[in-house]
Amino acid sequence: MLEIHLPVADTTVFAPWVVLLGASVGFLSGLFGVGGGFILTPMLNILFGIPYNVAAGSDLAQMLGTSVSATSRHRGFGHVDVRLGLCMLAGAWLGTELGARVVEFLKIVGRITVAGRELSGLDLFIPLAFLVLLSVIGTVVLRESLRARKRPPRGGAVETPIIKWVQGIRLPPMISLRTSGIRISIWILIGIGFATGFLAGFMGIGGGFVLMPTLIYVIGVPTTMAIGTGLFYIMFVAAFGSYTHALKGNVDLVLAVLLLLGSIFGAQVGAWLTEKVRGAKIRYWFSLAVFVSAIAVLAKLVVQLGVLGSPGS
Amino acid sequence: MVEDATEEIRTRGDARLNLIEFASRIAGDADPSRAGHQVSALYVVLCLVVPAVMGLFAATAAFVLSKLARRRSLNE
Repeated sequence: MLEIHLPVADTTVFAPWVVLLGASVGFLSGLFGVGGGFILTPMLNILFGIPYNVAAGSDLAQMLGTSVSATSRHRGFGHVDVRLGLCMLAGAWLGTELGARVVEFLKIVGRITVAGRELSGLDLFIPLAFLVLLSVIGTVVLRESLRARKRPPRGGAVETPIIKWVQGIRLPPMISLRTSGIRISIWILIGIGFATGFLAGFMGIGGGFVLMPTLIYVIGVPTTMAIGTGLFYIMFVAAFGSYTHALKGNVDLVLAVLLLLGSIFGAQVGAWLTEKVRGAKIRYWFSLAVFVSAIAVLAKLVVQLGVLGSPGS
Repeated sequence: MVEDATEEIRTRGDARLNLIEFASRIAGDADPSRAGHQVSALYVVLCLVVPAVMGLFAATAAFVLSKLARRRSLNE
């Protein structure tokens, strides 16, 4: 009765587990200002056996609903810098399309033999990209948040040498972001948009788990503002990513709706919690969530490659 | 065409019967049982509209509930 067939993924899932997974990811989305794809895409593949291309496409569709839900909540708290979000979006369109085309290329690249095991290009390169990004971001954020918990930054914004250098670049046109309290070259924002857009198209993520630490540690945006603006940006990236993946037949709408049933409400709870918890603590929790996801991806790769002698899945 | 799609889906058993599949079949060119298939315009539109509407619904519901809670606390 509760088992539902997913027409595009061509697999049957137990619906309550999918809704629960959606609720957990929605909560993280509202709390950390991320789309949740960095957890959801690998989890859909690992727990339900959904192919990476369908997991990525369906993820973006559910991310659209979750980000609409969470952004409206954060906007009510005054946590959204619309100008900052729109500038980054200018670079994101091209990056997202390029990322989706790389996925299409990996679909036809054929099977690759690694450590005596045959894997498809999608099953090898996407988890590897996830692993590298998750490890780097988790380490950077964990180290900084532990320091900041002992000595909180003034005014909510983190201070690093990179922020001073980036804000010192005077490449015109410059833009004043009054809501975030910074002045910066518009080209830097477009470049960040392009990079996160590429990740969105390639890995089925909104790019939030890269964008949130980038806004905090590279541009110098306060944590709560980075969360709200990240979600505002993700809303548009997810809409475009969902559109381009749907055209390529990678979106399973039944799967996306099941995930959304949980995630839209989880996102409201997460957004509400950002008002109650300090920025350094949020960043510390964020780094732990990133590490959990990295371990899950690594475990799947290890099993697939048979490094520990277990049978390939 | 609608009758063909209805009949085909019905004969496959209800485990695979769903509205999205039905919609994409009657819209024309899709074979939704395969990943990476050619999809119809209707399916693409649904992929954007359905999540956005669900998100807006949740946001509106949360807004109304928070207003009600605030009003109740003011009355008390």
